[in-house]
Amino acid sequence: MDDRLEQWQVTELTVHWIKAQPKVADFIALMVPGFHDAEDILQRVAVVVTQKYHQFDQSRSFTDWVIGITKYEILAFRRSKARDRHVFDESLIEQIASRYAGIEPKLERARQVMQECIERIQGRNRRVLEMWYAEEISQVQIAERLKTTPNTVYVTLHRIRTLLRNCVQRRLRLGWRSP
Amino acid sequence: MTNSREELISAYLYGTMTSEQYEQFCTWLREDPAHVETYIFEAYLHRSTRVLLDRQKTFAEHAGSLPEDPALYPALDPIDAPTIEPGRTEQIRRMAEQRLAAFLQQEHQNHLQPRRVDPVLPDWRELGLNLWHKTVGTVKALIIMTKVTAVSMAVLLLISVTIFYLYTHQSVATLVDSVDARWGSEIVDAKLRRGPMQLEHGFAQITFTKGATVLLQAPCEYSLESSNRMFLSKGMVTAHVPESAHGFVIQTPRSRVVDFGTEFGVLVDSQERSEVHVFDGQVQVGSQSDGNSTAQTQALTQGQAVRLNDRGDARVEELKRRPELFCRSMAAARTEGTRLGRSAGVLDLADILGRGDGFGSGQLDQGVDPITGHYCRAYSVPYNKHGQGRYVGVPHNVFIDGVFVPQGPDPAPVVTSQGHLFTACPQTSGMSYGEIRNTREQIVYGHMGNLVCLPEVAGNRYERADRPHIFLHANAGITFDLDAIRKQFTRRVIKRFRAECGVCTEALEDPAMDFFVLVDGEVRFSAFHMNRASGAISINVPLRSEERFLSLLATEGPDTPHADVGLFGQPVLELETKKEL
Repeated sequence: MDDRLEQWQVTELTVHWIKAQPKVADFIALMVPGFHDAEDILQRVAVVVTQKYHQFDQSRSFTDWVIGITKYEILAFRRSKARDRHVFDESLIEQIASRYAGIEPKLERARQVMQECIERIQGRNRRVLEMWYAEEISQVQIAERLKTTPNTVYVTLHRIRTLLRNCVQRRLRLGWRSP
Repeated sequence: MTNSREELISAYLYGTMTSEQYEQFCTWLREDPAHVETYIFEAYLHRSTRVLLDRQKTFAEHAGSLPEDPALYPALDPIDAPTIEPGRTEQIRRMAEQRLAAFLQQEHQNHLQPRRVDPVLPDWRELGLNLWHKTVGTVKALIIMTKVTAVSMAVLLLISVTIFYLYTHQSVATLVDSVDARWGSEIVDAKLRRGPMQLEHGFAQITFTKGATVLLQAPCEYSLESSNRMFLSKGMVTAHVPESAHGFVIQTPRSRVVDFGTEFGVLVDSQERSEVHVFDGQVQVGSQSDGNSTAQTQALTQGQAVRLNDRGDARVEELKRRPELFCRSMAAARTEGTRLGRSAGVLDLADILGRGDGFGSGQLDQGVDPITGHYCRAYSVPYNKHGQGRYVGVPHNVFIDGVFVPQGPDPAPVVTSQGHLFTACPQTSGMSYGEIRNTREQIVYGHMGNLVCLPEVAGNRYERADRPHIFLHANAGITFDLDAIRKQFTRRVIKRFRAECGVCTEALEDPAMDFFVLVDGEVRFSAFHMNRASGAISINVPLRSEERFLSLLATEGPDTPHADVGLFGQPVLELETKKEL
């Protein structure tokens, strides 16, 4: 905790961060698909935000301010991974950031219906999802456990994402809201 | 794209992407902002799935581990603890004891005096009759319910079928007139119903039930949607809307036009670009981007036009002087029915040079620099040009493969993007002037750009939209991509190229020029040493389906290129509808 912040500022920052953190995490995930890399960046952003909070202009949107800091951290991450050609370059990062701002309200609505859609995934598909996302087991290991091939696991994950997409879009079209 | 977008997104999100896929992926993202939005949504689903499943896993792991020792719970602040009235606890305890005692007493009584049921043998006959009556009653009830349900269903079905029949068979418009009309499917009745229609040739006029009259110009693909609404997929229409039909709507792929009286024209070309011209009264035009809800709406009044590109982006401008673009009456259709570009049997290359689709949607006075391939305003570029033997593409027009300044004969100039050579190219200086242009009224030429002449050859004027021309100075050439044209008009076959060529009557210094028409680099027409006295020479070049590039060019002839102004008059591709097998 930054010693320069007063106690009330710490409280204020905590409240801001709780609201902004999901959106910041979503934003990072767009640019950096690896979960652990994304979490590292999120933590660095949190540190920078804490260090610079005294500079934050209260008349601005906190989330927008943090997103600005996040872009720098993503670019710094990219420079550190310069040899990894699968990291978006600066122009593409800006392009994605620009479009993200425009559709963020739609993503917020999608967030509300996502739980219901995931609950509809059952059986073997559910097991694959849990092993991949929650238990972080590799596709090869999942294939071994389910006695199938890694390609089948890959296709299954792809199909599940399609099911989720269709479910979310259907609910958004019908104006469905999570209770 | 070698891989589908879904495959690329999955590969990226799951970390299995190859370098080649990554390049494809980035290219795809950069192509269109809509692609970026698609990726954002997919990435969001990917991340949300992890977050939610992770949360459930965490909850499941800790659900059974709530501490039993109350001391581990944070103590309530004494201020928050509920207060209880003195003696109230005792009162509650006594009430509970009384209730419990009463309940137990009742249970005891029930135990001591159980209900006794005498073991009486059943009267089987009576039982049977009762059962029979009950069964009959039940069956009767079921039969009645079934009948009622069946009748209800039948009535409902009848009503639905009737409504559907009336909806689909009720006429919404009437065919009232036509000129040289040829339809995509046979018109058996002047009463027109909902559904798609194609006018392949000629003109037709239909009147909607509510009173709006629409004049269709072939080629035209549209759909009648209601008594006061239509969808225009491709083609040109002019609408006259009386007061009774105010609110008449013409929907296009990228726009929605609502009429508030009384006359307007709508054009949709083969690339879904559209224009709305208001001749009288007022309309409201809503543009649509990417098929989503209306992005912007604007009102247009008499004399105004709006042009929408294939993304739905709109630009309002004053009506250009193209009164011939829309046919506004059947009388005009009768007198001008054979006008160029209106019969749908020909495709105007001058209109294509004007960035149209060959059926009148282009503009006049459009010029392409034969050195750079860029469109440019009149005379805004250096006028003297030396081609240096290069062939350049025209990026802003999918139907034009490229342009060039032929410098021959050695090396033979390249005349197509596939490297076809004009091996028969005569000796030229490689100097040209001005742009390749479909001029409107005057041709400007001369190395100073200070000379003008009419686009006229042997007394034939080529200055109207119905008699257009492609002007080029000597030592300039333009190549059209016939395959690109075929892709836009899949139901038609290109049969031949027709035109007239000659030296402009008013050209200074009586120049001498050579004219050529090449197909895939091969000479199919040539006229040497043409001058003013040569007049106009007809060109007729049959074209085969496997032939791709059509080049029109002129060279300087035996003299210098100075003042060598010539034109290809009425350059058209003759089309024929494909015969169904």
